[in-house]
Amino acid sequence: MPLNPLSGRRFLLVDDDESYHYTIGLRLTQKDATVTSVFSIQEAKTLLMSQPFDLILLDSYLVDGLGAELLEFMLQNKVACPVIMITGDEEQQSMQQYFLLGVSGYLLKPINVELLELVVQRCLDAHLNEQKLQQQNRELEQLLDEQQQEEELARHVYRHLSQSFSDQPDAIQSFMRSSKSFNGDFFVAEQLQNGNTLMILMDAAGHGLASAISVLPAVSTIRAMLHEGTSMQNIVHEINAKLCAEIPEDRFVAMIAIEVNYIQAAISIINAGMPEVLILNENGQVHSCIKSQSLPLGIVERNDFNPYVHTHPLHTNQHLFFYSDGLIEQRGVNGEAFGKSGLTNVIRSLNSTNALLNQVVDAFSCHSTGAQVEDDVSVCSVSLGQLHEMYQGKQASVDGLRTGHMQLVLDFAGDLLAPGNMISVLDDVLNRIKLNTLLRQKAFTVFSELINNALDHGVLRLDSSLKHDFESFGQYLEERENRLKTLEQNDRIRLTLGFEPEIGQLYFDIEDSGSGYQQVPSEQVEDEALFGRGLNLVHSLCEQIQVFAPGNRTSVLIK
Amino acid sequence: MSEVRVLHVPQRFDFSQHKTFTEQYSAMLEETLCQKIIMDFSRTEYLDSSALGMMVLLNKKAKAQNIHVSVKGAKDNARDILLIANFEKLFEFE
Repeated sequence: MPLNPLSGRRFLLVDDDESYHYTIGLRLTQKDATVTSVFSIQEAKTLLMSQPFDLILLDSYLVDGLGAELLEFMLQNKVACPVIMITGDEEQQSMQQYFLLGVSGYLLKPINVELLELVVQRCLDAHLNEQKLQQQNRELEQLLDEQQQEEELARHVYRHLSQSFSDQPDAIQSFMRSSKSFNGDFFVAEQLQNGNTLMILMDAAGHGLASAISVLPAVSTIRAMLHEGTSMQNIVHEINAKLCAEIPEDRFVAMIAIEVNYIQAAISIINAGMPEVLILNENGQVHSCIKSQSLPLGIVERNDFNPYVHTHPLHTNQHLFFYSDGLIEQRGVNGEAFGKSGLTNVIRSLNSTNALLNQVVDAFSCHSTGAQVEDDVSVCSVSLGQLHEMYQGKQASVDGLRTGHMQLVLDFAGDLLAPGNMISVLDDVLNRIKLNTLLRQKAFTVFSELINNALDHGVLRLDSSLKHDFESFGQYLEERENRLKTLEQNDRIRLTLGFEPEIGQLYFDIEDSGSGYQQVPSEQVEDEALFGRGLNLVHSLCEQIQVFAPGNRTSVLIK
Repeated sequence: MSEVRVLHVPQRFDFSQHKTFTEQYSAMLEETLCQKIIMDFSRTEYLDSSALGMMVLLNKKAKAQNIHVSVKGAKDNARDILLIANFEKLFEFE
């Protein structure tokens, strides 16, 4: 049986002719509707303010006024109920006026009840649909509002997580433009405790919120590791492991990591899936291009991840320039990409590297004006000369001469043997006694090298040959992680740190519970060949080094 | 039935291809006899990072079923993008 659309509907009939009340009332009540009859505008007003109706049937002339008066009253009092005029007024102008006042239908007297029923049904349907639409609109607005609030929250969290690194120095200039309200590119430049500058530019696959989220695990890893005295290679491996574990399998992050080491006058570069890093001479001529030689991060597990570390001597007249692929892939209004050619043209036109970033950004903006922004764009330009000056300036700026003595003995054992723990305690002490920056940075490098060696090769007995090969470095880290889980109380490292103000030197002694991993020289060693790569660095920073038998204890003087 | 399946990569391989691409390779992975999937890039002019992500996912799923995935016919820009990402370390380039 078809549904009766009039059943249960509440009608208000406003007419001063009793015969219509009878005819219409009868028809509608037969359809199980409820009909309330009134004979004047005033009665209708009173009822409308006290109870709801589904539809009003209204005559145009009543004893106490015109139907139009009730319509105006409804508008003023926001009574949202459809109205059908039932009138003998055939004037088109009157009809027009009623429609302007919001009526939904118009029926001429004498009434044909069949037609009345059809019009009433159509009018109720239309009203119902209108209400549904309004409800859907409200829900949509609410949804959009919720989404906006969630985005706002996500943006706040993202901003907080990604931007609480320290300010960028003038020597490092960067430009970023995101294609959506979230950026999947991320750039950080920080001075490490050992004085080196670390720069990391990341570009997560895709763009918008999804790619910004992919970058966050990497950012939190960088933040946690920056001050642990660990190598850039280690940080990159750790980010890779974290991304493998935390982001979906079809997501990954391309990265350029650059470490400028002032003491060794060298730059180390890892390019994992990014466009080439350019090393420019001061006249803007391209000296060399460091191409990507590694898979992006988050694709393969630690054992298969072998980022190649390119090393380059630090020349203070040179400039580094690197960017995300959004720069060269951005199309102009005619659909052509900015391309490497766009970039090369700007670089060729340079007389000096001073305004490099601005010129590239200007050319790019000019190219992309009027076109849709397709991907996040990052551009970084680094003046190695200015960076070096800044480093030297910092050495000179804090040069406190201390006269007091200090000695500190630390004994770490078991699962507390994390190098980060030991190094940060030592660095904190040197920071608090306000030792001059250069000595502190040298000391930090020496601590990092000796503590990491004592733990890795002394306590954990890891084979150092694995560490010096890019192909097996991942395997080395994996093995290291496994052995760290098996540490026991008799695995220990004992550190002694002392400050000798008379000679302005730091004395540092480290002894591990291992069976000895260093070769013990018969006398004071001057032969660098006896030392590993890390120890060479220690050797260059120390006045004196002594290794004690069986090779598990080292004493150094840092000046 | 042949044991090698060829997956024709579209001219513009980006996120808009996600559904089609996933459906295509999923059907191939479901075939019990399939031992190798060749991704044919002959007509591909452009691919973006989402496309690279889809390739990584296909490779992982295929590897889990001992199915070999290789790349064929990549040239110009498409080849450059695959090489910048060092995908020759993940896929055999024919």
